Amino acid sequence: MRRVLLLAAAILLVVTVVAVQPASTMLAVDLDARRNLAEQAAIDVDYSSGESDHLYELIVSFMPADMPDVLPNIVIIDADGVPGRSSEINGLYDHIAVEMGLRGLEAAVTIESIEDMALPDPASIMVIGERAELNNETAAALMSWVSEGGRLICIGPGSLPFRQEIEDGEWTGPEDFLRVKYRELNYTVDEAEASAYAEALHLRSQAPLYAMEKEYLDNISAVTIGHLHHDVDGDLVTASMVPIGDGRLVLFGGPMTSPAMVSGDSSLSWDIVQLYAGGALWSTGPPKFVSLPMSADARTGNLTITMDSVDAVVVMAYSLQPYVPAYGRTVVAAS
Amino acid sequence: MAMAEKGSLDGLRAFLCPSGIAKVLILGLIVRFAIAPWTYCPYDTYPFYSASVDMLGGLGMYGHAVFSYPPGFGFVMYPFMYLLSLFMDPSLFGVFVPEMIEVSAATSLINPFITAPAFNLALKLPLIIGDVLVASMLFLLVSQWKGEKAGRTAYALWFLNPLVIWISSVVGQFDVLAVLCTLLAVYFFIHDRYALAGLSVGAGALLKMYPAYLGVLFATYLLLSIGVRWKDRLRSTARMAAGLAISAIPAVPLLLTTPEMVDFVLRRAGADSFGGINLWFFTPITGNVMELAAGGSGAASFFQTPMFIMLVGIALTVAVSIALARSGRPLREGIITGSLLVLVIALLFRSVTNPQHLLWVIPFMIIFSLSVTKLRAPLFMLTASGLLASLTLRSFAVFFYPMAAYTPLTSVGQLNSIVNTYFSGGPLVPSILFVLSCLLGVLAMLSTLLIGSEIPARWIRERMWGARE
Repeated sequence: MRRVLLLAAAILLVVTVVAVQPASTMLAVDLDARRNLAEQAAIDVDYSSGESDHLYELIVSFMPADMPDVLPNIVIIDADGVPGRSSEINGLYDHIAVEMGLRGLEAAVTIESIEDMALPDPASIMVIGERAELNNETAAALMSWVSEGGRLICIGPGSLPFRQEIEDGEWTGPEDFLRVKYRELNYTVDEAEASAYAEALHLRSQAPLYAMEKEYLDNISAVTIGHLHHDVDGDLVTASMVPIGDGRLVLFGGPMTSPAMVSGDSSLSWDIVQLYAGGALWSTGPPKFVSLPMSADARTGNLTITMDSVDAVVVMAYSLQPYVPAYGRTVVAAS
Repeated sequence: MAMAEKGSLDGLRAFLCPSGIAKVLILGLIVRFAIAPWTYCPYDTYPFYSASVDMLGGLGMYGHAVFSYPPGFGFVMYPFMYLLSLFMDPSLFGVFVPEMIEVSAATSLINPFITAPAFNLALKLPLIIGDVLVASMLFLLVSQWKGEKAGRTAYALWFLNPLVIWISSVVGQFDVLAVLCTLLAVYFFIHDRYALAGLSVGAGALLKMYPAYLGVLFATYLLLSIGVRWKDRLRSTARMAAGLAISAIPAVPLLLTTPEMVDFVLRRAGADSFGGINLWFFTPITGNVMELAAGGSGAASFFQTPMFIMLVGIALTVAVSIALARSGRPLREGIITGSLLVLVIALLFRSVTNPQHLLWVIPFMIIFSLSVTKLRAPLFMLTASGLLASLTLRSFAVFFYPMAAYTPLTSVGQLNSIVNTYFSGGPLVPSILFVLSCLLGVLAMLSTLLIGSEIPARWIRERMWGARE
């Protein structure tokens, strides 16, 4: 009897160890997208995907964008100047790398210390996830890098190097630096409003400790890409995109903190990869999306969506259930 | 053959339900099964959910880098989650609740996500089984040493301990499984089964890293014990090392397929926060005094890291192990005392000590308290400390969100109101209550060290009597 029990336990252990090994990475969604022959602004999409073990909801987003042929590398800056990396920066790296891997994206994700930071090719994406203290000269160089086409993502107050500060009610700092003001966000679900980007890409970071005052973002032609919170002291924005020259600056509220699901590394990494793969970092207009219902069956179908322009469009399919990483992506050229 | 089978089955039954404790077993199980489905930890349960659905989806337990424990609990969880998935699609295992974002933002320690009762039960079932097995191991260890009556007392002190019930059946943390491994390790070590002792330590370390401290104690004991030939010492140590090596085999395939798991697990151990039921219990009120003292200078930075704290703990563990190995105490007494002291040191010298970690020492306190009744008071203090710390951190209401989401007994809005009321005066009052709860536990552990080690007591006694003479 004892031997039978031991044997059964050993077999269960072996089966379990084999079963828990990662066996698949992605449920490929084939997308065949083209312009509608009758109406140039409309996009026709034929989609198909295999059967899944579990139910999932499939979203197809459409982003008008002028983006490079190859998705660029992502560099995360360890900016706090303290030896060792904070758990937030490590978490951001881990989650971005995982999200990229699950989608089969091959661009490199690396972490660089701010002391060793060399401005990468302007085609790259740079992420500053914590407070960064740079001198004005370096900050101006970073601003020029963005202006030449770089994509800079800054998370939380103090993370934007080329910003003016308010001292005694007056803005101080170089005149061309940006005026962005953060304020504590008292989150209430009824006062939150998702932007077109947040809806199309299902962005998750919606309750940072500090968000940005919309009044100042409007002055720098920023586009709201996160959630808008209506507050008695003025509207607050959780994520915003600012065009600077040929580049883009993306500002997230922050800092990264718990709970990670709505204001920490896991939600922000999802958002960054969605903005990146969905084409939002190169967008030329607001996105649209279609939601396909929960199912585990193989999917085949077609849909048509009319865009507001005839720009190139990034079509991306993704799942809302993280354990069914359905993913597909294609680009329709400008008309 | 049939007689042998009957004997084995009787032995198993006697192990799981020793004579005279059926009522305790039934009462403990009723309480556990009554509360397990309707409760969860709003912060810790999400990684288990994520690992579960990722494993079922073929992504592996580290698929989304949310689960950051060693892989052992993934192995334990998987069969239960697989069985559950035969009846319920993983999309129903839990639900994101936007209504909770407000309290999430206010407390930073609540994920706006509620797991389903069936998921909670599947998660906690192996933990409840673990509770039973630990109680049985305690009965076995104590009854062999002090007789069956003492064994029954130990069984009841564990199985009806409110903190044990709370951690396994409400919070859903799996420390009890590592505790089981440490008790098995001690049992095998006492009975000179060194390979099995090593295997148990290794299995425990696959769940949580802390049984490695017992590995240090055992290795020191084997290498430095008095009156044993060096050849025998080395042979015993080699056997234990072989057991340890075998225990690592289940993790090897994951290391090959998911090498980044080492990063996930070790980075968690290197988390840069301090506090809880340990020597840094005051940090919620004062902030991190080590950082303040170091002034953020690079030279001092190593001394403010969790790694440094852990190294101090390991150094103390080695010192205690050497002292006990050379003390000439009887093996059973030495090992149980050593396990208790080493694990108390491990708790005190952690960067963060949560209520579930207190389970590591409670079985050894129970065993010890049957010989040294002075330890009963610290045992009860530690139990109270764990419960109070758990309840004062975010209020009791946060554990009942599954009940609110899946029964008409209460609502998410009502629980949100309780949490908001608790934090309505700012974080100071909850912090003070939490710090006081933790202080109780720290005092319990310090008194355990004094009672268990006898060294300070003896030193004071000798000085006092010496001065009078």
